[in-house]
Amino acid sequence: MIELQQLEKTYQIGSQTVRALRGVEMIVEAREYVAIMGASGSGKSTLLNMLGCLDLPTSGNYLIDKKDTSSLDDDELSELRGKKIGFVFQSYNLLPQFSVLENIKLPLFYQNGVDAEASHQRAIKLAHLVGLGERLEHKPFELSGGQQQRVAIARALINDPLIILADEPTGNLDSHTEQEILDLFETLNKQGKTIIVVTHEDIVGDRAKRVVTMKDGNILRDTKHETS
Amino acid sequence: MNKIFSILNFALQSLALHKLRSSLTVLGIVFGVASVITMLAVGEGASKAAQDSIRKLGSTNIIVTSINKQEEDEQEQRVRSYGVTYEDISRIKTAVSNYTNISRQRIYEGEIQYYSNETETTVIACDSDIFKVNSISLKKGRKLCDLDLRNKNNVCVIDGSLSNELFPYQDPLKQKISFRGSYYQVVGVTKTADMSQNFSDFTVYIPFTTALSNHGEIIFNQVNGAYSFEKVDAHKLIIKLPDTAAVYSAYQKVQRIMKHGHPVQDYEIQVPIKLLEQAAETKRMFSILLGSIAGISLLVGGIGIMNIMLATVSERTKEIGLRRALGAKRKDIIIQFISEAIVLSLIGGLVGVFLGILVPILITTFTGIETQLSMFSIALAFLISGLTGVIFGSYPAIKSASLSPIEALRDV
Ligand SMILES: Nc1ncnc2c1ncn2[C@@H]1O[C@H](COP(=O)(O)OP(=O)(O)OP(=O)(O)O)[C@@H](O)[C@H]1O
Ligand SMILES: [Mg+2]
Repeated sequence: MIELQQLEKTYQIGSQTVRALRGVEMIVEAREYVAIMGASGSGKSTLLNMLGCLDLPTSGNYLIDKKDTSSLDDDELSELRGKKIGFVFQSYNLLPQFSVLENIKLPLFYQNGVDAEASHQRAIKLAHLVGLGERLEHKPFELSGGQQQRVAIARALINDPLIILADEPTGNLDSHTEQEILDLFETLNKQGKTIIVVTHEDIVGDRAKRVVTMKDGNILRDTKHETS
Repeated sequence: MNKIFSILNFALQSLALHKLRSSLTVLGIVFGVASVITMLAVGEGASKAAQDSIRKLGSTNIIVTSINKQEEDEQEQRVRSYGVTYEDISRIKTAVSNYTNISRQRIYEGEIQYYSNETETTVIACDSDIFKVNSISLKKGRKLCDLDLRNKNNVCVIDGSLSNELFPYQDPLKQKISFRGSYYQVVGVTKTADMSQNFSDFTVYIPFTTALSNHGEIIFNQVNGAYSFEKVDAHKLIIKLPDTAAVYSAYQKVQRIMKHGHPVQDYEIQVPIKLLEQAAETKRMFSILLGSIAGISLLVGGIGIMNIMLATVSERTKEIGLRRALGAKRKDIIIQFISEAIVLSLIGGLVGVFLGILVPILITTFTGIETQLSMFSIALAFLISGLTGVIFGSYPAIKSASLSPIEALRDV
């Protein structure tokens, strides 16, 4: 479903060149649950940004559903993000002026031909799924960190994306709340969602079905544990 | 439609997040728009008042007024002699076309009597054409006619308010009023006061010739307790031309004739249509001036909006990044920021229009200065405030959209 071919990313800072990704090769199939791990600065976030089409590679190819993304222009990339990718960030990134329900519905605003009533019902269903059915009208600042991250997950699901990308989604949460979020991911994966999580915590990696370990911009190890 | 509604809704919610800042921004536009409308209303009102008073003089008229140029001490006892002469009048009559109405006026100030009832009035000795040149219409009876002048009839036409004063319960026609020992039979009552006269008090019109034979060539007037004896052939000569084109050539002729016999310029020639043109020119200048002031104030308001939108963009870079990650295209971001700017300036515009309608009304009620609101100025001000939003909102919007999604997201 997803394929990376010789993906390179270099940053130019003044005269200095940082090679964040050095020819990454990776294939992720549908329904996989992947954790990307590795030391700080190893290129995990850079890789995830490439997967989310938030940034463009310096060289190499990135194929989604066998379609090369390098041929897409800015508008098409936006459309691709909107339709096929759901993001979950470490800092939740909810809009403070909007309620829980409005935050969940935000991605629909950039989709054409959405049925307002159906999507409203869908947003309510998702809020219930993440356990916030009673808090639809609350504003983000009235929620705990764990609850905010649940809103963000519901928002990532609203367009029924192919894949969910999460960069340190539990980085700001205590271990109990972390477990709840991981439970939620597991449920979603069982329901058929493809999930890729960047983390440096073993607890998170242990819950995934496949762990990709990075070092200095390359994949060091790629292990699948079929259990769990 | 639904989309537009939710865009506006988004904009309002974002702006509501920073109420104080949004309202301060709006203030610039509010005052800009309100001052545009108010200034135009005051300007329009002033020029309308000026034009109305000029039109009352008659737009195809030429008015020659006698002016006393002699020194105060010279005036004490002697008979003062000045102004338009019979010779001037007959020359002017021959010089201007046949289709012209001319009326001489001699003006007497004094009391008229009806039995024991005495009233201060202005008695105007005139030709029958006065009703044409000053557009006086009658409520009752008839005007003075050429026959009255030829036969020196002791008849008069009185104005409506004098009629009410003297004859509240009876028919004024055929009544006789006396002025300085002569009796005049009322033959007509005018509808309104003669607007061309500066005095708003009662007016009586009598035939020019009758006045000469009854009261002589020397005019005696008593004003505020001071006496004066004047030898003036006519205090005023009013010439009504058939159309505005004829006014200019007639004006030159009249000017030449009057210059001829008057070493001291003891007369004044007024041409209302020239005043009207001057008024139009003044109005044009005024509009340009007001327009520039208004433009500057709106520019200031617009810069305020741009300033706030720029601050907003850098503050909300992360939001922009998030929206891009969730599928927003560059143009969606541009639309969002421009619509916020437009909402701001339209709210400012609405409040400004409201103030702009209110303030001229207050000015008129409290100072009595005439103001004239025009739909045009309201529409203009509103349109400009909208444009201000688009123009000054565009730069921040385009700037915000040019960021790549990851750059925007990483921003802290
Ligand atoms: N915008 C950027 N400009 C310059 N260098 C960058 C930029 N983003 C990342 N890098 C560099 O690329 C390398 C990989 O960074 P990346 O953020 O992917 O690491 P990471 O694995 O996510 O680390 P962490 O666990 O600390 O989040 C680092 O050396 C980093 O300094
Ligand atoms: Mg990282």
